[in-house]
Amino acid sequence: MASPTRALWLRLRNMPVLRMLQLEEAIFRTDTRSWFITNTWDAPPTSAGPERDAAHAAAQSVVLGISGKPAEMLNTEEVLKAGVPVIKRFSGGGTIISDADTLFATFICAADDEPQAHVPQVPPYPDPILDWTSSVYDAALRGCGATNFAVRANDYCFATEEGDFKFGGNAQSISGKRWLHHTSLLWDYEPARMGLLRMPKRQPAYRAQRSHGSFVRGLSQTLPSRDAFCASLAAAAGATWELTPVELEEAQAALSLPHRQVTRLLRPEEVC
Amino acid sequence: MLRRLAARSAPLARASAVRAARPPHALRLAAAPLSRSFVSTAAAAAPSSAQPFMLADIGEGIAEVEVLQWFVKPGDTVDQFDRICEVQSDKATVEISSPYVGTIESLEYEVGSIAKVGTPLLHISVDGAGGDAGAEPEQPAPPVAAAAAAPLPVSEPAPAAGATAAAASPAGDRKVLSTPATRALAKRHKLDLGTVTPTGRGGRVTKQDVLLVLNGSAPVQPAGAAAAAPQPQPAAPSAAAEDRAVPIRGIRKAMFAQMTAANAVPHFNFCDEVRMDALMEVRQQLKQVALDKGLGKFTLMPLIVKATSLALAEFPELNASISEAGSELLVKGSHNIGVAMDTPHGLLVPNIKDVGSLTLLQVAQELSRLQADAAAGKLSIPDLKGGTFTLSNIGNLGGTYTGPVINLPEIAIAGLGKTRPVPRYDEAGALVRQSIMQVSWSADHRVVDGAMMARFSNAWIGYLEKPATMLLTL
Repeated sequence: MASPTRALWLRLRNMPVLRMLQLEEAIFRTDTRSWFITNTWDAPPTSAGPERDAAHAAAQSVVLGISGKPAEMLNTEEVLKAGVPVIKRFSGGGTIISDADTLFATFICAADDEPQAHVPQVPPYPDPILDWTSSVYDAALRGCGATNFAVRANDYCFATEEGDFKFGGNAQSISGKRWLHHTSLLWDYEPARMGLLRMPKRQPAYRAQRSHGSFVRGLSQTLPSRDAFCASLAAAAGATWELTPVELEEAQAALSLPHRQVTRLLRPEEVC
Repeated sequence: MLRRLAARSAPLARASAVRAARPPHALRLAAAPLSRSFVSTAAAAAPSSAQPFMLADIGEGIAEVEVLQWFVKPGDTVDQFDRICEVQSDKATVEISSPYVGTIESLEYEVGSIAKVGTPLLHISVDGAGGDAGAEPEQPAPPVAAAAAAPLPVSEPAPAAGATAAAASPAGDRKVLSTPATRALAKRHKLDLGTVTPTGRGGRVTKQDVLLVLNGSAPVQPAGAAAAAPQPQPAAPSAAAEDRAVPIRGIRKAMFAQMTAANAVPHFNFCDEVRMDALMEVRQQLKQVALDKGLGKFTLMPLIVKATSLALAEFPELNASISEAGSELLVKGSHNIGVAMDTPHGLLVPNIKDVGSLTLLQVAQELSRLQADAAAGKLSIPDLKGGTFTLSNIGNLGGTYTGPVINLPEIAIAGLGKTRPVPRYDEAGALVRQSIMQVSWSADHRVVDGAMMARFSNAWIGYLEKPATMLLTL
């Protein structure tokens, strides 16, 4: 019987998004193994007030894709006034605004020279990668009782009678036969924060010109808890990889290895 | 396995149904085989002419990409699998690498522009100087991820079918194996390939070897290097030596940070000599046995590593780190002994895990594996993490005493000098020839005092000078 394919499972808690992305980039570029990485924040207080604001303030950031232009994607004056850090990440795709109600999940797949970690049934091209990750998220949501998962124009959505509502955006980076796919998932969101994002010039047809607040939906409206979803996601990923939990230290060594570093924090003058 | 495959295929089928509603892309490519690569098959061209490197088939339905970054410019020589550029397609960034060995003639797109699939990304002269056969691959190879170390390409790429044949070029009386691109690079910088230490397979001089000499870095050595900053090889003589600024990047940058942090630790230094004759005799006896068991070579290092573990068993508090608050000495149960290695990417310290529970043969095998991986640029994070004590064999390059810098978060390190025959007086007072190796210990003086260091050193030396005593611990 062939050995199972393996991946390392890194569960991050309350890690600032910039640091998380830098870590992912370092692992992607310098490590050869497969990884499954999640990052969740402690649930902020449910009642509005300074404690809730502080919890979100500690977690919030805007993350642009590698070629995202702040002036096109953001209401830059509001972003600067709100003091929200603006990060450029190493993968493509669109812009997100994250806070303490945003969950992050990342798959990094080894190339075929690591047979114990490589997933040969997922060729290193955008569509097959999205097909595979979609199957994982579909299984994860079914594990939590949600059966209306859909993919619309590369976005993860709930298909409802009222329309398709996005709950997760994703992006990829491919280098040879090694690939990375990461997703930001809305557990919940605040419409006011969404207002920092401009309506993108190019938008998918299913969005139908809806404002941000009108076409996204948090997972909290459907799923029991963040931890339950993360556990279900890990179980779904476990159908492909035997997951071995590791500590942060295992991953951090990648940061000190030489590699191309694209992820960075934009200076205020770059945001204007 | 069958059950798992069945489980996999069901979700994929469901995913296809889930994605059925996606709007089609405006342009759809003709069906392409799954074994597609990122370049089209180039038209056969005369070896010396520039030929287009086509952008093709980054993914089904993708008709154009944005050029994000070029890693080459006109005039650059590239080897097979070197990074060429990074492009973006919808949500995926993709690194494209060269299937050819050659010289970049022109770039057809600017950064930020949109490149159409099926058009040339650049033009490349595939044949370098010398007109050697086999410069073109028989079939285009998929791009291969570059390993660590930007901006320089790293490690000799694994040869694929039809990979470039290395050809010999004479260097004095010695033929030097290298690729056309490497020879072209050396010729451009008036560098004699015969003066470059080869690290490629079969003794080939790689492009990386040449770049290291040109940048003033040391080539790969068989084992060990000082924990202090590596001494660069003298650069190849050039017609006019000029001042130049070398950016501190990569491993050197990491070393900069590491050494700066270590500088805050008060170092206690202790030095001594080791009579190596008995150990060298043991090595001779074991060498053939080790070869018979499949080990390529058997040096003194496995014996020294094992002796270090035995001495640490007697002085466990030297196998430790200090808690962040500085209130506890965290004694480690395993002896994960690091061996400093000079690699193409700089000084790295992989460690052999749990030496205390390994046989001498296992230590030798693991050391050999780490050295091979270091030379190939394939050390993994687990190899580099978790070390508890470091040995730095600067003697491999030469030298006697040294002042090694502690490899944080460890609290002690050894610098080993070169073993040399020297005249000494034996116990009877006769002048004899002995093989002597100097050892220089550094320890964190906040938690290690001179007496502990000296006693540890004596125990360690005892195992090396009387190797039979190691048998008592079996």
